[in-house]
Amino acid sequence: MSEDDSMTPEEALGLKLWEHVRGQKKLVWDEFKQATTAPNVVDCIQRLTTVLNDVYQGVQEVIKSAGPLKSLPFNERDLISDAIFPFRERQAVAFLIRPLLLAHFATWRSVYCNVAVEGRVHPWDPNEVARQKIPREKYTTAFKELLRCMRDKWNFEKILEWNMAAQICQLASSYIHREIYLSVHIESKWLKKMISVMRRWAASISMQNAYEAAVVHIYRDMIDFLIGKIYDLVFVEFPRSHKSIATLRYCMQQADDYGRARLSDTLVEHVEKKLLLTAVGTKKILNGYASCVESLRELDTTCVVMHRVCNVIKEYLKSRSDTIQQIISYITSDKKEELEKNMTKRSAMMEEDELKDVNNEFLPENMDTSLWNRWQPDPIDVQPGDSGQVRQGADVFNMLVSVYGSKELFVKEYRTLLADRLSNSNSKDPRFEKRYLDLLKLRFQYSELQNCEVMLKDVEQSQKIDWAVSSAPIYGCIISSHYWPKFDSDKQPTPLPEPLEKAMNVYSETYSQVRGSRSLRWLRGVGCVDVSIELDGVKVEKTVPNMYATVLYLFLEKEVWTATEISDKLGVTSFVAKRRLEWWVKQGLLVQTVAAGATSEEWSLTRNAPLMNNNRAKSPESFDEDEVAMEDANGIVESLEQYWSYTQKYIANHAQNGEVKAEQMHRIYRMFGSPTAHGPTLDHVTTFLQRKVQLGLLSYTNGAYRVPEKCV
Amino acid sequence: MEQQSGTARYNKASSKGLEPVQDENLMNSRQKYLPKESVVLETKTRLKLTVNKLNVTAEWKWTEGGEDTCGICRMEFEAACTNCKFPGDDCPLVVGSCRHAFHMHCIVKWTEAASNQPKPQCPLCRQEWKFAT
Repeated sequence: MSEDDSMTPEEALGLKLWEHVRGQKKLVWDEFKQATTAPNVVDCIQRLTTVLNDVYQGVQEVIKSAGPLKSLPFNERDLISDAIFPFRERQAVAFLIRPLLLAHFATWRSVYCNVAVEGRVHPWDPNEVARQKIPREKYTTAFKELLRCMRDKWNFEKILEWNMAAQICQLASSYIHREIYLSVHIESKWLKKMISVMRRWAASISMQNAYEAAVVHIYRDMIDFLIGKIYDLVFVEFPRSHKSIATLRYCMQQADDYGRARLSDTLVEHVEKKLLLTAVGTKKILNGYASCVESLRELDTTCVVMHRVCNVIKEYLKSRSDTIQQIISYITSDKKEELEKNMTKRSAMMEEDELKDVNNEFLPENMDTSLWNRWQPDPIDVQPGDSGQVRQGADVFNMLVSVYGSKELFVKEYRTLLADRLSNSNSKDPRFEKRYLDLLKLRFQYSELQNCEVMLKDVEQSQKIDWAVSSAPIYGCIISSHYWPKFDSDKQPTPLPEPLEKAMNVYSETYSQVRGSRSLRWLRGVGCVDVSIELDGVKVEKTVPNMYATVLYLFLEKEVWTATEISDKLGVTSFVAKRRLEWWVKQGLLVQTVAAGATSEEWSLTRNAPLMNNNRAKSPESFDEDEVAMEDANGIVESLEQYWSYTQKYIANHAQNGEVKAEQMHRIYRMFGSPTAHGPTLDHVTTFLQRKVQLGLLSYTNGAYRVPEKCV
Repeated sequence: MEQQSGTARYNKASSKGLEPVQDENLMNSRQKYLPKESVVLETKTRLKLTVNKLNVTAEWKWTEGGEDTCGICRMEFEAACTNCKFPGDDCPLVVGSCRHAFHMHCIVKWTEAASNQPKPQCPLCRQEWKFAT
């Protein structure tokens, strides 16, 4: 054969060796297969080693029999490894080797880590193996011998390594899944411990490379898993999910911020899908917002992810009409204890916009260079021009205030709320408010909060007068009207029942005595009264806003009233009178009756007095804000007329594309308003603009207003 | 009288009932925490009302001065002058013999100013400034 002739002796040897080893393949595989049935028996391991050694000897003999040769053009060990464990059959090879490795892990673990991971008993308890009393030392030595043989004589290093890496990954993930099953949230301490076990195992059979390759994937798997449920961790379960968050942070640090972009994308996506829905209440969104700030702050100390997610929520919140009210009550009542704790820690708040594009390194705080060696660069996903100072200084309080867009607006709202609480509420607590105000002072400049301080002092001083007047159960709130927001009170105040008026006069006189040359003007519509209402032997205690109490007092005179009579008596519109009567109907005290032949509706005291008790649970202080709103709506819309010529010119000349949305105008009008007034709501602005549309002074298309050509 | 220093005038003003009343004495003279008695309202119907606690609000005004602003600092009389934080007793109102009212701090500063010595005048009507009796 010409081909045979042309072959060099070395090539011929190669071919011969190949054939020889291929012949041995079945033998070796059979032996491995047999070993897998009892991979932890020392005999099996030893026999496997012997077989491998025998094959190696055979190969050496074949080489020797070929006589002296020049250097071989191939590595005989590579050749053997290729012939017996070919690359294309690596899946099958893995099945052969895996049981060996696992069995070793189980035995090793029972010997060296007796208190294995966490000391819990594993569901497929590998300690079972230990209880079978295998001679461990012997086994370990035998296994090491086998590995050495495979490595040195056979060059199975590569195959072993990637099998080992795969094994580590699988073991780790099964451990993790078990841990999740057992304790829901994974502690980073646990993860570290588990990973260190893997490292020690790999080291025990000198497979550090395999460990290095595998550990990255353990972290990544963990990150992937946690990102999968990040929404729940951040919004639903926080702060219970604290451990998982810490673990995620640890993993991301270890894995070079793997999955960071996906983390924020996933969160934003879920937030939009699950949280920012019309059906979700503003309070719930605020709760979510707060836990988002706290949890993401923990997760990412640079706060970039937090700001990205929060901005999405913030933009949405701005479009809701009740946000501002909700935030204030959220900050100052729902979460006050919690926020109080944190408040003392941080320094004054800075306006975000002020610091835009400022080089952080030149801020006075950063001129202190003593910490230069702890400087950290901004992460790569940070927005350019974003100030790290503001970003990292953010906490729940700052983030909530920043929803407003400005501190002034916040202070304005805070003042209104404070006024409401101090004057209307039955359980005012100036001492607490004072403490809270002191905390706020840390965040705001003094001048911004001066009004609030005067308000508190007013309340404290009025309490002193309260003590001096002992004749009647009267508690006053004497305000310095210049510093308080305007109260909506009845235009023509109705006098209260005689004994109360008398008490008020006494109060007035006492005040004038105590505070020389000052007199009082009562705001009768503000405040509330604790009354015991007794009807047909049923007694109910209630706290009633004074506005509604005036109606109640009228029923002391006669039992049946019409809305017109009431509105005449109280000097309010009949619409408002009806609203107040209906409030009492809801409380169960009045019933509405239409007498036969009567032209107007009448209200009378109920015959079914026990009904009042059923309604007791209803909030006693449900001040009906709508009423005031309805009264004022027309006035506010009228007051917008003064801006009409400005509005017209603004739309025609300054607005983008010559058109504006109602929201835009609303924002502008609010800037004009004095800080004390409530200002127009979006509804008012819309009403106002629609009125102009009806007059033909504006045109309205697709939600935007423009000035028609002829009017420009 | 005109030769008196500003401080003396201040004292003089104080003696005319402008000095703050000692709140502490006031408080101690009464039993602070004694709950006040409820008031039963007179009724002509089946409804009986007992008022246990009435929370009312009022705004205070100086008896003098009217609805005006201080001619010196342009703040309302009921507000504090520019140097004060708290209105009311901390920043009282004084009336001159010409019936013009000012924040006390404002007018004292004015009358003490070197250019207005030795005979300070009311900044509004240029009559000689004297505290009203």
